Amino acid sequence: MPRYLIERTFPDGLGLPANAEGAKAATNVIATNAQEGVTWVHSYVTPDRKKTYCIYDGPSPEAIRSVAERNGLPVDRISEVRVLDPYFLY
Amino acid sequence: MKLLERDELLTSLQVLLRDAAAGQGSLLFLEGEAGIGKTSLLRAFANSQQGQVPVYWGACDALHTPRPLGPLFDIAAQIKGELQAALHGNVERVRVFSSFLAEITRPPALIVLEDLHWADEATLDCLRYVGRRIGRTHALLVVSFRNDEVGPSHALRLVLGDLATSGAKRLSPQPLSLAAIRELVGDCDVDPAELQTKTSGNPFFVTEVVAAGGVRMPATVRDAVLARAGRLRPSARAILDAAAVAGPRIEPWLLQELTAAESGWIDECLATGVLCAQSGVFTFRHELAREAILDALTPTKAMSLHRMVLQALQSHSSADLARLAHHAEGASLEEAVLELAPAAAREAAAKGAHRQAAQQFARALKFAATPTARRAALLDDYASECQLSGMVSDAIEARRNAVRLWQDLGERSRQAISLARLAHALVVSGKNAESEATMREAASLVAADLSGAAAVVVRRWAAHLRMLDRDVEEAINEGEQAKAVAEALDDRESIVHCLNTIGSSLIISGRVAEGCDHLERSRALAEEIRSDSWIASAFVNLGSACGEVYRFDLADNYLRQGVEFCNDRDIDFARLYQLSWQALVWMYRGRYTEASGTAHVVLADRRSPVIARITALIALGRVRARRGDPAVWEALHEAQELAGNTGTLQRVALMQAARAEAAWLEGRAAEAASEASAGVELAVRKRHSWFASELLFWCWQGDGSLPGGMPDFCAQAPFAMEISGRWQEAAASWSALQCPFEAARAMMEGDEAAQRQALTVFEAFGARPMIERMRYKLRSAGVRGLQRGPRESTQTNLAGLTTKEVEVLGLLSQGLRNKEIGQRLHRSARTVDHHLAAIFTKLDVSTRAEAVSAAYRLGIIAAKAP
Repeated sequence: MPRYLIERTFPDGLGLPANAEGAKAATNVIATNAQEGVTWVHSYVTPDRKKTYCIYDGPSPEAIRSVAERNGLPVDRISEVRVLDPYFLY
Repeated sequence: MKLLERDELLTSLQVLLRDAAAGQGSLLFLEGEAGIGKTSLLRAFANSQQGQVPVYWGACDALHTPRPLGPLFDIAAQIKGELQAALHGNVERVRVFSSFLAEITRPPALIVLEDLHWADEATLDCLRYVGRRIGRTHALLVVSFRNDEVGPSHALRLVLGDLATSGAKRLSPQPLSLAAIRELVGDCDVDPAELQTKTSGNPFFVTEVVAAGGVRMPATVRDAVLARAGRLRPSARAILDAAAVAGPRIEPWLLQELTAAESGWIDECLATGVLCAQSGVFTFRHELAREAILDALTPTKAMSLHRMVLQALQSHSSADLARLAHHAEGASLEEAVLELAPAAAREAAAKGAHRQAAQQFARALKFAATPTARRAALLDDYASECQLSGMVSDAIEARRNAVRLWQDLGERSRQAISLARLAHALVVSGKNAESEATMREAASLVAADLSGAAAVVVRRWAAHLRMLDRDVEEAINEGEQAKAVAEALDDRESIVHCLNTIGSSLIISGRVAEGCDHLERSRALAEEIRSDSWIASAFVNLGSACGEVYRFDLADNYLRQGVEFCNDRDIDFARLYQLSWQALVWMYRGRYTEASGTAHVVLADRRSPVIARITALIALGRVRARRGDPAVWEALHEAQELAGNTGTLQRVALMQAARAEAAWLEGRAAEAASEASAGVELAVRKRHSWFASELLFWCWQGDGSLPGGMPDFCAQAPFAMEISGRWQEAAASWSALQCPFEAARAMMEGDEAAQRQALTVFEAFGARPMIERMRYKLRSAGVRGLQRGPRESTQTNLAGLTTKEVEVLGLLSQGLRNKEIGQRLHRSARTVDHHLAAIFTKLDVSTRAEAVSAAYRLGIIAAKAP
């Protein structure tokens, strides 16, 4: 299954608090993703919390877009990516 | 017999039936290996419902080639009425299905269809039809099948997959536990634990072993059955043998007739429980038992029994042709098979069971080995049915054999017709060059008598191939000539075909209204001769030809109608091809979610023909390219591979144009030019104004070249306007054609106001590569005040509507017209139009009312108190 990097912009900052409420929101996202066979691997967030870079596994870019819409998450750009590990280049 | 460990299943059935009575009908698949107890469970449940709801029972038989719609005949015999009339009459198949649905669901009812792993194609089509609609009825439909006989390529698998999305449920009875086996064994001298290991808890196997009561444990269920039958006295055993040959359900008179002298022995069979009497017929306690008895017969014994069964059925004038043909083959009676199998085939074909029809013709062919006209005609019939059921390579092989045989027999007309149909089969499988040669050979054979019946058939197929290859002038000429002869001979199918070919060609050549008129006439006449496949073909060509000349308004309308028509009749080939065109039309209209969703549906269905895959891949590739998503080339490389093999304009041009645009959007201009130029020569040679002008447009976008110059016949194409700098004219044309993306692309070359408007459109569609190009262009020209990233206000709501779009929605909900909304917002009506298009796309709706109600539902606009 291809791996994708998804860039998102949150003009008012990403509201995902590190508490029970935030955990519940994340669980909802994961459950919606599962409907299309999409897996949220992990994300990087800028310090101002206005941009996120998310690593996802999914069957197609359309599946990524469809769950993003259902989750109410913006999508700026989807790129297909592969792992490149600098310590194992030989 | 006592039912053990089935209480939970009975409760589930009870709940489903109660829901059905309350108006929420459902379809339940009951699956399990042979002998696991599906029938016993259903009989017990049906008995418990006796007198409360009507129960209708139908079953498929283990014949090599089953009777089309066999289970429906069973049920019709129970309810009589309209369904029986429909089945025996010569009515449209969808009418049979709808009357079946109406009959079984009028009052709350339980319908059981057993052993669907043996079902014919028409029965499966009926199941699909009913399954999709059962939710709104008061009926519970239970379908049983052996899951170990339904492999991944079994036709029932496709139905299961199709109906999974309609909420069909599945249950499977589990093997018996040790406790249950212990209860069944009772006082018998059998070790329950050993019995469980040997039988894996299969209830039928367990009870057979217990009934056989031997000291030695039988190794297989077959041994257990034979051990039990072995206890019968010879005369009773002879009855069992005759019954096994006679079929899964044996009429009492038939069994009497087969074993006249020994009729008293039937009681012994019933007493030992090998045979049962069930609703007026004898059956084996289980099909496994019948198979075991049948396998143990010597070939000569089986043959003579088959002969007796056939004679008895014929003397009672049985009308079940599939059953008669089965026994004729079992008896090796050549003349009987050659008479009955083709008759059974024609009956199957009339009911839409083309695969069974092909099998019946194949059965007849086994008995027609000598090179006679009869064999050649059978080969032709077999080939036609193969092609209708999607087995194109078998069709080609059979057709070749027919051609050779007609040639040996000196039948030039028949040879010519077979060749023409072979040419069509070849083009369907993408062998265009070979098809051309075949058609030339066919034409040379009828050249001497161009007004004969054979010449009409050859020439209408010749015209058809010309149309497919987009030699539209030739197709029209050839088609008109064939039509004139067909009219003189009153050959109505040929007239339907000619009108179809001429109409499609007219649309492609730009005479759209005239072409649609021809195709509508073809469709009306096809309705008169009741040919579903020609009706479907008219829809296919109306939709795809209008799409090919950018008449998306017409295309959308015809494709919707056509998909619905094919859906009701399960004409998969045409349905899937039309869906692929619908995806393409939605792509042009900027409805990317629907376009890519539909393309995925086509690509995931393994019934999709190559031409549907090509079209769906192109739609998907273009959506990805326009959104700036990855996996563009995954789709477009596969499209290239498939389309390249056909070498025909309508596939190649679509594919090359999509690849050129994708390369250009990714910033590889030279590659765009070379992709486009690969198709230019063909498109110009065929004088296709749309394909030629689009491919030339991408050459020009790529490297400024126009190989061969812009031909005169392209002058009116909006692509040509874009090239010659007439951006306003081009944008207006594109808008009129409902291509917002193309219109915005043209405006990109205009003044600042136009460019800003183009940017708004691209943003509304999320067309990232174009947004970036447009912003760069505006900034380079010194325009300020453009957003850097996505607009700040975007994505403040679930649907991702912008503030302006929310504002438009608010005014829309007050019932304002576009012009009024424009006045309120100080925008032009055209801009409001663009906002509306974007709103429709984002909310996945197609009307203003739907948009407003979706907006309320999503909380985007609040319902105000009056």
